[in-house]
Amino acid sequence: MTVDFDISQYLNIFLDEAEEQIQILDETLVLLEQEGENQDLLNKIFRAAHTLKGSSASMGFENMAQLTHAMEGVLDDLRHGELSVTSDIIDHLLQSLDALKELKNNISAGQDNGVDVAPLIANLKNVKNQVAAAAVAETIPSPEVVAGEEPEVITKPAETLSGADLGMDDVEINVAAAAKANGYNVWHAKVTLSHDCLMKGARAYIVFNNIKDLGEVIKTIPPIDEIEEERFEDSFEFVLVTKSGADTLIDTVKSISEIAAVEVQPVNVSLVAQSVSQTAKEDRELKPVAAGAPKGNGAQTQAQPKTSQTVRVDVQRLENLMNLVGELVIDRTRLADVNGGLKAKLGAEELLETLEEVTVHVGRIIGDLQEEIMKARMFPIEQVFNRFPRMVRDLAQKAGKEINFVIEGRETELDRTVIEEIGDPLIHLLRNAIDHGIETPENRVKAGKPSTGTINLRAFHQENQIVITVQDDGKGMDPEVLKAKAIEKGVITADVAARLTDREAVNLIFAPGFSTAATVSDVSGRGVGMDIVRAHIEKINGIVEIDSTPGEGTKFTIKLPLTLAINRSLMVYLGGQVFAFPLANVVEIINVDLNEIQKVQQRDVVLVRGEVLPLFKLSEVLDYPSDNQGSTKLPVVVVGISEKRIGFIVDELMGEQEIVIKSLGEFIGQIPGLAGATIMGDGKVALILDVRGLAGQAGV
Amino acid sequence: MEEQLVVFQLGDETYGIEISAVHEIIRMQSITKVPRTPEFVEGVINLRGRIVPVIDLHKRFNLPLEEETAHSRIIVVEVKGVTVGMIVDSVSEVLRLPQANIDPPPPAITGGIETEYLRGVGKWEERLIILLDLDKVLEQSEYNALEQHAHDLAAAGKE
Repeated sequence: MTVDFDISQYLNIFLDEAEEQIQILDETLVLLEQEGENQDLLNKIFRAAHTLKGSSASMGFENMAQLTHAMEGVLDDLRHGELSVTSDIIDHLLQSLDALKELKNNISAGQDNGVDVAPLIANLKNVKNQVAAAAVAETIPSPEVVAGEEPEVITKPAETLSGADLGMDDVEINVAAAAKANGYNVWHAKVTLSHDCLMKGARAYIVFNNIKDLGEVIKTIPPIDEIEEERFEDSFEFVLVTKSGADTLIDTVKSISEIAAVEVQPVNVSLVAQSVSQTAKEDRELKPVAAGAPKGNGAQTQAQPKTSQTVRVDVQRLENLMNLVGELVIDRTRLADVNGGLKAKLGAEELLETLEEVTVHVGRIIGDLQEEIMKARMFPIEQVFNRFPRMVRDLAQKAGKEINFVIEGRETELDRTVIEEIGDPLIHLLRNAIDHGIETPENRVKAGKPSTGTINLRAFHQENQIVITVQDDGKGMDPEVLKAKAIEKGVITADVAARLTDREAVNLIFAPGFSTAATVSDVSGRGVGMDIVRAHIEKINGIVEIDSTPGEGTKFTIKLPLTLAINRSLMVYLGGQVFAFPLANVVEIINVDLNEIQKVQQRDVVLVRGEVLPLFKLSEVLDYPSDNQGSTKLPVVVVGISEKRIGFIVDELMGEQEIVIKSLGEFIGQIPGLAGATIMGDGKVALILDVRGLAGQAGV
Repeated sequence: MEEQLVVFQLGDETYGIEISAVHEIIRMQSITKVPRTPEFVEGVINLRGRIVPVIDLHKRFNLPLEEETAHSRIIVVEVKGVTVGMIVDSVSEVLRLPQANIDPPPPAITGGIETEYLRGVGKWEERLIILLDLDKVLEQSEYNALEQHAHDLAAAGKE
């Protein structure tokens, strides 16, 4: 009757948790450097390192456990004022953190090595020893703040429990009795995990794993599968048949971290259940008396921040939900259409009015449902932002610049799909701001600015969009310099440059092959930066704008849609079918008279408010029939791609509608100029246009 | 051993496909034509919220085109996870055909359809049923390659 655990199921939980703790360390260590000794912060960092130590030890990842243990040592000294925060210590900690990240990646790739942690641990120990040497005179034991460092131990050899008290069945009692007859001890142990233990199941696993060497566990309370699934409060019990004594058992359990208390009692298996149970039970319920460290700081331990309850949900499930709601959104429109049709046909009928009521109500609920599910797919942008402070610090140090990095609106929520895509462009913008935006301290002082530059990263909601800004108070961009550079690089001709407005000149940095850095650094200025940033952002239907004032700084503004799954579109007719232009791309709708169209280099153009607008027939670009019967007033949808404006002539305009994007499927595959299809209110299929692809087809 | 077949007409020929591949048989409905697809792809339909491509088997097999009638149907099949609707002139019945009655495809069986799309020929009550190899019928690599080639040509022509 051996009780075994399966460790593999914990690996993902462990990795998730490790990721979380590493994130916390990442943020807080940089903050620590800025703010110096802040007790709350130090506690937070210590807790993260401590948790990581515990969970990696539970999982048997020795390298990570040892490294975090060493980090924890230094952090503990910092926390108790025995060390003070210096950039040297921060550097050591950050290096260790980098190693932790690498270890974590290795573990997820299936191995716990590949990183030499020994020198890092030696460094950390060195730091610690310096203090120890200094403080050797006053060796006052530091009070424990976090419970679980020193487990409380209670042994009650005097009193015994009967097997039946523990709910053992006859078979189990017989096994125990037989073992006892052969000179084995039968111990009952109650293990209480520390209050803040996060991976109780894994912790229990390690307990069982360690005591396996001592003997055999014949009974657990609650049953082992419930323990595995973490279906227990802070404590669990087991009955162990072993040759070892109670002390060995206690020591074995105690050696595991995050154990708050261990109670061990012998089990008297020869006894049959009787009235003793009452008293025994009371005994077990007695509050364990603190045996180890003084619990002076107990109150602080209890003051854990209450976190809201969350459930981890498979992303695919959310996607499915979103698809289902998409169906409902379509049916809502259909229902309204049918309702309208019936009403027109039958006039005012009582039943029809009820139908209308229901239709409206269902519609409202579907709207709410859609909103809620969209929210469920939203993550705070924090997830992306949190890795930036460290990056900015490192880059600033490397570039020899002093930078105050301010983040606002971490809590702003974005769709998961958008979050995945926005990280890279932001990294690029920040690197650019550090590299090209902020001046060196000397130059700043010369320009009459504070020597420390400021980079501000901000996210907020605006109407139906997310706006992210990256602003620096650096040297800004000089349109003339940009023009000169662009000519030099062959991006534009001198002729064109002369006609550019300042705003257009600033936008030159988005041109492929453009770089403004005088020297090429290893972080940016490779000339592939900004055009890729823009392409990335446009891929997720966003736009990016620049405001720059020479001498005062530069501000990039990124505007993103809230979600990518549902979008508002302009529906148009072509050849009797409906096509959808994503509204994000539509600049305006104009009517063009046939005789206003002119030819420039064999291409159709029209003058709109003095600007030349290239015109294309959508039917020709798509190679699709057109129903246009010689009308001279042509509806034109003007779309914007980056700075370009293009007009597409359609048969007729239909109106705006909210649509759910569906794929055309594997059989048809990707078709240039089409982004997918959607189902309209009347059940027919409309094709969604991909404006970029269309422009490519048109040869723009 | 016998096979269950869905039997349908294309022009004056009788065809059969294995019933396990058939999802459902629906009436003709409005089909949205998709630009830049091969000739035999009629377009896409809305099948209870799913976008399903529809092909015309006459065009696929280079058979003479037939008028759409009240008997015209779309047979929705799923092969290797890909769902496709196939337009046929009419669906006649579901048959159980003993394996013994199925012969390998003869070299040149009919005027139009090429043997590579055939799995065999079944005999049932003096009738010949042409058994289609759906994998081959719905094979895309062939026309995808053609399409790609056509696009490349078009793109080259533009520049």
